[in-house]
Amino acid sequence: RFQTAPLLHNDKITINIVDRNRKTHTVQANVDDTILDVVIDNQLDFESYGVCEGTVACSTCHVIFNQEVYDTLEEPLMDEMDMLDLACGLTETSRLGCQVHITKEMEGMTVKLPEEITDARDL
Amino acid sequence: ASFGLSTLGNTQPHVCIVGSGPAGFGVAQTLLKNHEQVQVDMFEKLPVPFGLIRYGVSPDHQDVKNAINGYSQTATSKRFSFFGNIEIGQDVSLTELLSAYHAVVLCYGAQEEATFNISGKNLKNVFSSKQFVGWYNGNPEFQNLDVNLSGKSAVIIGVGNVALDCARMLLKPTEQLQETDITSRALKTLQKSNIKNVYVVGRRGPMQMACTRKELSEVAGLECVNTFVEENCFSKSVETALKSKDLARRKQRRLVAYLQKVSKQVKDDTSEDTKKLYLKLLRSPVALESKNDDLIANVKLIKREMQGEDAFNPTFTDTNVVENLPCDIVVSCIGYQNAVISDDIPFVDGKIMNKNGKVDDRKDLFTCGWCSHGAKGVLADSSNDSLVTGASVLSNLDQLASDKNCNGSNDIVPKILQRGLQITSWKDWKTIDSFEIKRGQKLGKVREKVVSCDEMLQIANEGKSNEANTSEK
Ligand SMILES: Cc1cc2nc3c(=O)[nH]c(=O)nc-3n(C[C@H](O)[C@H](O)[C@H](O)COP(=O)(O)OP(=O)(O)OC[C@H]3O[C@@H](n4cnc5c(N)ncnc54)[C@H](O)[C@@H]3O)c2cc1C
Ligand code: FES
Repeated sequence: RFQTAPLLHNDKITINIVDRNRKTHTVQANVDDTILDVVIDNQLDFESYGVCEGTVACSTCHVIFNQEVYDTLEEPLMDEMDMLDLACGLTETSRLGCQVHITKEMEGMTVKLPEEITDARDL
Repeated sequence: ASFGLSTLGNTQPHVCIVGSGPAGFGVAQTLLKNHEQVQVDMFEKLPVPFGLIRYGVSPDHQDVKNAINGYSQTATSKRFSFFGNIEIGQDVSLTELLSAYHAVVLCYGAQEEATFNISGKNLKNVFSSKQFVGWYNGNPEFQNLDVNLSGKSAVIIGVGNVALDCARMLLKPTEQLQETDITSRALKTLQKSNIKNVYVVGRRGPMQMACTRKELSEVAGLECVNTFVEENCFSKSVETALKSKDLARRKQRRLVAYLQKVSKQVKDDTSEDTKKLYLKLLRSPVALESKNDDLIANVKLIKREMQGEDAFNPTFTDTNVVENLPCDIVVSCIGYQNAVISDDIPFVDGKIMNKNGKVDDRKDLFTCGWCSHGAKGVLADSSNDSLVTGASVLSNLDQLASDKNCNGSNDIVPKILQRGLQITSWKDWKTIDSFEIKRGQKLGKVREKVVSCDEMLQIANEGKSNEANTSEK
């Protein structure tokens, strides 16, 4: 990612991230950053999140969008699809936080981390 | 060092984690983050941490190994200690741990070989995945393995990700491995390899393959590899299944659709470097055979048939058609099972009976990762599991801490030292870690692992005496 010019004020938006304990964090996000970047920059410090550091090798950065925002996103690439297949608690509007970039249109949106999958899981 | 703790009296909870893989580190992270007093001690059988991230995950999956950075961050906590080179059940009993700690969390994985009942399994050049993977990944236990790759054909038994890891290691151009943390010795053997054909044998149909599309594409997508699968695998029921929309089966559908596609693309095979990957589905291995020495020469298979409308849940029957696969090396990748480290743990079918990580009928015993539910799933599953177990420990911890008086490592470490055992600390690991990285740099590799426990201990000791010398000056 190259940032030649300093970021302008309007390159930041506000989004809500709901953690696994259903707590909402309202944070500032730079346009073009990934959701994983936003989590790290805001020191949200979610446990076991983004374990492979954004290299599309783990799926622990899994987030769930609402349908309207999901529909505006570009299609996931093959490697994202591969890791999404392995994500815990996959839904129809799931994406990897390290692969989705913030756009201006996301102002005010809410994304959720999946809830812990407890004993019902079928491993 | 007891300053600050005294005000807490005996209420500082001491938790012990057995095993330092993703499950162990995941639980440690959850506990340390959500409890302000808890002291977490981690015991590991080997002198060095990280379990299968270090000794299972392939050298060409370095991205997965980034997980180590987060774990190392967790280890910098003042309330975390690492005790390596100590095997629970052998050097220290579980009972001893339970009396020294308020809670014990078993995260020791499932790295025992699953039993493979087939005649000829003791022939030369027949290995289990545990041995073969351990060999190229530098696991001290498997460095004497005599892997002979002078022949042309290899048979891999099983179609899971581990099987495809093994197939890929045999087929991948070695230039793509030489900068990784594969051992130099394994690299040399692979560079001289003559293997041209790899057969991957599975007992069931395409929809039952346990591997992922990504893993298959990492082998089948190699420039030098042509992939073959029999057309009759893609029966009508499979075609119907491919059209299903069920999200839970997307993984399977994408895998099979890819297999179908890749098997139709025959790449240029005029080059000498061209290799072949054959997926032999619907076959049961029945015997491993040699000619007249004790070297593997043939795998005898029985063909099977798939019946039923639903390709996701078919029935299989053996036919009486026998097929022989002449070969020079066999790696069986049929899975791992749990070791019993104490008679006090409720084991059923190799799993520790538990609910959300709390071991059944026990107050102070928890479990997480592969030892709790069997050797299934990837890093993400173990990470998710550690959140669940971590939450269970946290919700019981303060009660457990007020119920009994425990001093954690203060109780147990003197006993270990009395037994004449050497413990490796986190600092010792960092010494070994930088030694390996430095040695790797000289060879143009990310790391050159130390492959003997004795040498690891020696490096740790030298690190300590160097430090003592510098501080004297
Ligand atoms: C060959 C192979 C390749 C893999 N590749 C990938 C991959 O590319 N991507 C991915 O996401 N997942 C991969 N996985 C899966 C991943 O490694 C596992 O999901 C994960 O490591 C399981 O974590 P764990 O902590 O339960 O067990 P482990 O990682 O096995 O950790 C258990 C630890 O406990 C220690 N231990 C055992 N017994 C004792 C004892 N008695 N006392 C003290 N310590 C003990 C062990 O030495 C080990 O360090 C792979 C697995 C294998 C086998
Ligand atoms: S951080 Fe691992 S896949 Fe996104």
